[in-house]
Amino acid sequence: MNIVHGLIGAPGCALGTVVVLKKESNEVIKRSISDFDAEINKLEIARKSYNEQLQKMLVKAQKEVGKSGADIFMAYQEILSDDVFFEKVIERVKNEKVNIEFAINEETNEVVALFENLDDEYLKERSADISNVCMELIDEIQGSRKKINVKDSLGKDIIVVANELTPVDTMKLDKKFLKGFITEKGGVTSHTVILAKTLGIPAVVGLEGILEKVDRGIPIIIYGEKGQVIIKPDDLEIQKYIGEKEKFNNQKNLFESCKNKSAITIDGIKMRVNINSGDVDSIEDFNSNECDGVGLFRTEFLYMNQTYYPTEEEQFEVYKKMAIKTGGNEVIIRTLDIGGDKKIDYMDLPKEDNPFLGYRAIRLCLDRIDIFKTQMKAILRASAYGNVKMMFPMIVNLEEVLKAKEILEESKAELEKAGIIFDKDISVGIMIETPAAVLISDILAKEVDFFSIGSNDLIQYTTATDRMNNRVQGLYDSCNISVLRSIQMVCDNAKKNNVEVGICGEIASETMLVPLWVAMGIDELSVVPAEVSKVKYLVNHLDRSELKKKMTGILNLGKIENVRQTLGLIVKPIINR
Amino acid sequence: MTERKVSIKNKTGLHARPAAAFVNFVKKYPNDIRVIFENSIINPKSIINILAAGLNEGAEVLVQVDGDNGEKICAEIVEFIENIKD
Repeated sequence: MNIVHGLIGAPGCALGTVVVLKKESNEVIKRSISDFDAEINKLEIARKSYNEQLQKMLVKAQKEVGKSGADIFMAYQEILSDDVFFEKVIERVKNEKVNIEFAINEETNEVVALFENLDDEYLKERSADISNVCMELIDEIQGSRKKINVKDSLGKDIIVVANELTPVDTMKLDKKFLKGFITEKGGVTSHTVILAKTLGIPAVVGLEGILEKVDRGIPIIIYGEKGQVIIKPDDLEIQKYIGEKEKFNNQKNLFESCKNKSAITIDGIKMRVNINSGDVDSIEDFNSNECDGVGLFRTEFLYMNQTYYPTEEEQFEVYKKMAIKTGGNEVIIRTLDIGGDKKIDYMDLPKEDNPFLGYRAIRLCLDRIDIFKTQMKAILRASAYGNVKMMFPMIVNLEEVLKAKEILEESKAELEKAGIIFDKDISVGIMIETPAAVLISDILAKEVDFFSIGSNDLIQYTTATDRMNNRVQGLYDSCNISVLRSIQMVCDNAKKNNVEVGICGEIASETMLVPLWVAMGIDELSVVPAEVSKVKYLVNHLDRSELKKKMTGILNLGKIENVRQTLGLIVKPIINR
Repeated sequence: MTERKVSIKNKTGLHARPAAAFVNFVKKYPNDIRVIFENSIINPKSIINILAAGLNEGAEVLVQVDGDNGEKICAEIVEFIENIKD
């Protein structure tokens, strides 16, 4: 038995039999030729034939893996139809009197060399595409076909091991028994990984030397999330795997059963489970049957990839669409939360050393009142079409809230004057994501209708840690007691003032912490769509009064690991049914 | 010959889907067209050329069109580039 590690590709775990994918292409040999027309004819026939195969793969991919899996074949077709490139190939055949395969190979090498100069990772992968297309075209001309011997899998689950897999390779594989991929090459954005994710099977990439360690037919276990591969597992490992797999499947089924239900605790307390949104895809995919609303509608996407500020009309159309889609459920629209870390030419953002502590979000809006009003009016107009609420980000003092509310009143007055309808009593709330806001949450509670705790930023600002910094990432801990105490404080201050509290950062859906949110009396959790079922399931299996008893003193435990332990004891029996 | 400057505003530059859309757009015109970027001459009717040029966000290019209807075509190409979205 041998345990090896590669790069984490796609999540999941699988136990199967190894099938090694070896490519057997013929070498490209240089020959002199005299019949130019014959060579050029070979090229055109091959291009046409290969294009037809790509078209078939495209259709197959669309059916099997959807649009993203199919896009790559379109990209290949585009490269294949690059007449300028093939003109140069033909020139070479004529000038050097060489065979067509050799000419293609030479031209391809020259082009690929150009890509070496670019330092963009994404572009480097594109050079692999060009290389692949040419390789396959040469195979087409030479009549050599890659041997992919996967048919006789003997009805067993198979795990494909290869040096690397091109999109065409992956499409040729029979999906029925395919349970995982392992490749020597490839990064985490490679096609292998994308395909694996779309198929819902694990993949480990970048595992140099794996081909030497495996043979066809041997058993292998793959743990995608750990990037781990166990070659010829012993009985103990196999038992462990079976346990893991069962747990994973059970959990999935448990959670799915709660998808369309409401989240109500055992002792009858309802919590709203909303989703986070704010990009074209999630708007399209939104399903109002599966959640209680939109707890965070980010609006930055409307300002990005533009050459001018989005107009009131343009914004209104988007907000209105979302309001209607959500039916009578709430849509909490967050006003512009952007800053100098993003490159947006038309906004003329200052170049700052510390954009996350700088001119951004509410600060930018209070400084550029016209822009702020435009957005507010668009949101107000949308409020006539659904349960729309407005929320201000990055608040650090009372003055900002008062000023924002003043501008809101002006916007309302302007709309009234123009005879445009909107919800006059629109709910207004703020993000609590800075320690400053936490510490005056009692005062702020008197000025707003709701709070939404932005945990991602709150953790960063409270623990003074940059989440993206590898060296100190460990300090960015969702169970940091100061953070949890901050949330408790915000909750208490809100309750005293009849203000609702929600959480919209990642910790809202963190399995271990959901019991704490239930115990604290959080009203609303806004999570990514994929986590909704899990959160609903958890809430449905927790009893708030019981939890409050179990959790007294949890925030006085001192060490973070003790907090984790206590929470673990509560959560594990529920998710391991 | 008509020429006009334009800068790539699309966040991901002129790559992948925008590149393919751009190439297909330019292919429609029978004229000789060149895109000049930092002293290299790129043939915009070749997807491989465009990809290899590595035109990122912010890249300033010069579009040159020879032959009939040069001004109109140049303007249409510049407009296309300016309106590219991911």
